[in-house]
Amino acid sequence: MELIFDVFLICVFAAFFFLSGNISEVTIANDNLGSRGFPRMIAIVAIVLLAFSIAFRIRLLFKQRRSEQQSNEAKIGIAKNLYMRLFAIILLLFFYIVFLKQLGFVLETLLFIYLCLVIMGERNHLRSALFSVAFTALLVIIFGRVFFIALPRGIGFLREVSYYLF
Amino acid sequence: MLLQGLINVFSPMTFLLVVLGTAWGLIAGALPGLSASMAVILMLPFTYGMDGIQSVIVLVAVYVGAMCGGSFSAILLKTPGTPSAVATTFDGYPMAMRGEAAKAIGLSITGSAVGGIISGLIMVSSASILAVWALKFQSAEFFALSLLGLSCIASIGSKYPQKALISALLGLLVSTVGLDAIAGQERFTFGKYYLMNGIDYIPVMIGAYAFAEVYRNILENKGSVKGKATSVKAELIGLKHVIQHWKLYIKSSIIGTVIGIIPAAGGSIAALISYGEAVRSSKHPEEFGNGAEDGVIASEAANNAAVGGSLVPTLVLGIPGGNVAAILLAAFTMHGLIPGPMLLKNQPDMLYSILVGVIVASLLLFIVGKFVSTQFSKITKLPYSYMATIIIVLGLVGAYSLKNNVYDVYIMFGFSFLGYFFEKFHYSTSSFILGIVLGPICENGLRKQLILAGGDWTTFFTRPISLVVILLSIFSFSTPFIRSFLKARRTSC
Repeated sequence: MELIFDVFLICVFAAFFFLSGNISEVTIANDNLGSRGFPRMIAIVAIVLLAFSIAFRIRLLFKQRRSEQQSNEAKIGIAKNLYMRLFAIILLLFFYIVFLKQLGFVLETLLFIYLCLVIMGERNHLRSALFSVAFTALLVIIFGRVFFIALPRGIGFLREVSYYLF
Repeated sequence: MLLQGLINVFSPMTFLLVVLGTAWGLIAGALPGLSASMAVILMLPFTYGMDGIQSVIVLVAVYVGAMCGGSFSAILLKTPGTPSAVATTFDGYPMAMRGEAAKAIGLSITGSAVGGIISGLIMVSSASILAVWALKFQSAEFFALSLLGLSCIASIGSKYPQKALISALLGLLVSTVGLDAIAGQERFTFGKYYLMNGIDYIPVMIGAYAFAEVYRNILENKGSVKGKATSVKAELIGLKHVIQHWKLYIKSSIIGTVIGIIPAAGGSIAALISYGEAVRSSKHPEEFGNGAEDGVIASEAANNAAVGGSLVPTLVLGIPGGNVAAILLAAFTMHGLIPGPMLLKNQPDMLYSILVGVIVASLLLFIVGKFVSTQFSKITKLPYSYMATIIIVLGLVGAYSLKNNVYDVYIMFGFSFLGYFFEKFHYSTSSFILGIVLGPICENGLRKQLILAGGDWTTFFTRPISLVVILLSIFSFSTPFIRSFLKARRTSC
């Protein structure tokens, strides 16, 4: 896994290096580095360092291949349901962000907190619901009313309602 | 004049307002997404009816409170409440994980108070000299300063220095996204307008620290701070501790004040540089990043010392040393006061009133700070499912409220995965954040100085301040390598 991550990182640095070629240059006297110079310099150093790191890891991998494989399998076996839980939270988070503008802060946060607690294993639904309402109300009061943060209001009917709240 | 300052601050109404202002600052600072500048801005309308000196004293108290409050969420939730609490997260949270949250908060309060008081004293004793000296800081010195800040990466990731370096390089690269400040060219924006302003490090930090920690705890099916700390009441750090660590407190406070004076530097950079220096000079640099008490003291003393520092150019020259100082400048103007050399001449009690204000607000941190942190820390008593939900929602609001922009929330979400894998594979999230924070200063300083010097690279070594800071950076960067080399040699012998 670590090797894959290292390769991913080297790809990111390589992407930065090649994309920096698309940066249009403006001639400023004595600006030796220009707009692309700094990112390119950084990317090259990082790629060299990562290349060494990967070479070292491959060498190490040949030595420890069998033992690592066994321990990884064991870990995956133990944590399978926890991976599912994490995946569900990430998915929920993703939907929260995607629909934030449409559904507005209040409705989304109410739903998010309740569902998050249920996914995390909270069995008492009433307590989850009450906590969800109380914490959302607290956030709306602090951020919306006291600190005047322009929290997302949602669209249509939700927007109209939000004006009564903050 | 000092007496006049005392009379100004200790008039019942002003004192009450200072207490309330400090509490307000602490609360706002503790909430992720509400910066010190926002806390001061929100207080500004309440000062319309006050006289000039009273309003400035109250606003300074808010500033002092907010700088300290940022550390509470950094320590308890691994989410810095304000940008200047970034470095506090490095050791504050590991301390909390060890069950020493109360001590970490106590150290943060003490560090903040000492930093604030020392910076106030420096401000009064040598404001004019320091303000003029700060103007000597130009591009070369800024570049050197960024190197000094970056030089501690080898120490932060002392177990895997190469990975820490790669992490910092990625941070530096991420900091180049957006419009190039010198040539105005778009870099890595893919034509998206929201990337033109660059990637803010607050959402990155919330994602890479707080969210990644939640992911990890879910996978490990365990509690966070809760598991070890049942009650988090800030531990009062006695004078004995301060005396025992007097060098660290004073050094960090001086670094914070000096960096605070430099226009556009600010509390977060002061804290990072002070942290780096604490790592360099420590006998146990390997403890940093794993819950070193000195790490919390260094960063908190420095970021609060930056309060007094940033007021120096504001008062003496009328040039704000940072965002909050710019707001204070507006407050001065609102009350018909024009900051600059004439202000101190016409109203000499102003400087002393601010000094007393800073000292009183710093001392109040022990009482008000303890109360606010105790209330805030109650969330750590909740079951982890509730606590994780609170961290996630506060993180979402924090990222969003920075610019009222949903794209910052996407950025936070994206970097949460990077933070998770960084931790998993022993990369250094702290070094990565250092790279993002210091990247713009590093690149702009380097390029601007080269332009000014006609492309001559030796310019960085011909300017005395720049040369000294660069040498210090090299020394700081190489110290852990030299230490480990000597240690290995000793063991082989």
